[in-house]
Amino acid sequence: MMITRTLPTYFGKGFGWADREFARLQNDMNRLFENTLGRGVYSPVRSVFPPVNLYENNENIYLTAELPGMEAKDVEINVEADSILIKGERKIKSEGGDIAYHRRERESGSFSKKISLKTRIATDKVSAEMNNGVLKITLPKAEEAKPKKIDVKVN
Amino acid sequence: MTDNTLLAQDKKELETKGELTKTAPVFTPAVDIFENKEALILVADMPGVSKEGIEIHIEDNQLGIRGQIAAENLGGPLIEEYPTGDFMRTFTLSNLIDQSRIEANMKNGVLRVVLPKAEAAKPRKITIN
Repeated sequence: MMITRTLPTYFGKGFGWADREFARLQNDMNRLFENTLGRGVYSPVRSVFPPVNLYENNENIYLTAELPGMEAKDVEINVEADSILIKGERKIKSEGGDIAYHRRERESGSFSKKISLKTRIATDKVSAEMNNGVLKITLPKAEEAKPKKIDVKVN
Repeated sequence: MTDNTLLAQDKKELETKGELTKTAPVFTPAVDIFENKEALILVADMPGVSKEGIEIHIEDNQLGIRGQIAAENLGGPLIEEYPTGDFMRTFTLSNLIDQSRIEANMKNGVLRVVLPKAEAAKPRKITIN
């Protein structure tokens, strides 16, 4: 919890040094992040696995996610009218006992991710496929969410 | 191993000395490299790359793997949590690989290259008299 206190007004003058010190500290911190991350933007927020991309055309919304090594049967998908849940576990099979690793960068584990959609979905028409380790879910838009063309008659 | 949760990782963009002719981003695939008695085995995650999109070349002692993704236009992007692009990575092999017997296969976006060890490089037990 943070407690803030208002300073009595007679301290109104003479606190400029504190502001300056704080600004200097802030600059130092910024520089530190820029140096370690190679860029000025520091984003501590990581998205939940798997990262997904969403695309849209007039008829459908498409969701894609990279899940190398996984097959369609390894992924569980639950669709609601305005959200979608992807669950699964990525397993990396054991290579046997008598091996020695030089590099081990690929990761295994379970995941569960919910994505909210701004558009309403025709849940009964959703389909999914897995191609070369990329999951693609086709989410047809609900009839009322599709863009409509209105003909205007000119007399 | 089953109760750990996967964390999203940023894809690593390839850093090359020479510039690439295509302006599209290229990424380095995550790899496992391990060896057993007979071979050195490389496993690389290259999601979106089909068997046809894989290119493996060996020059001197450099093993280069490259995967081209089949770009599909799905409409306008709404959310982009991960970037897409081809994969490329190069490794320096030791002399002790039998380069004529290298085998590779691709399944579900995972490339597996088996690099058999040359006879001379296989482990031997030496008994002292």
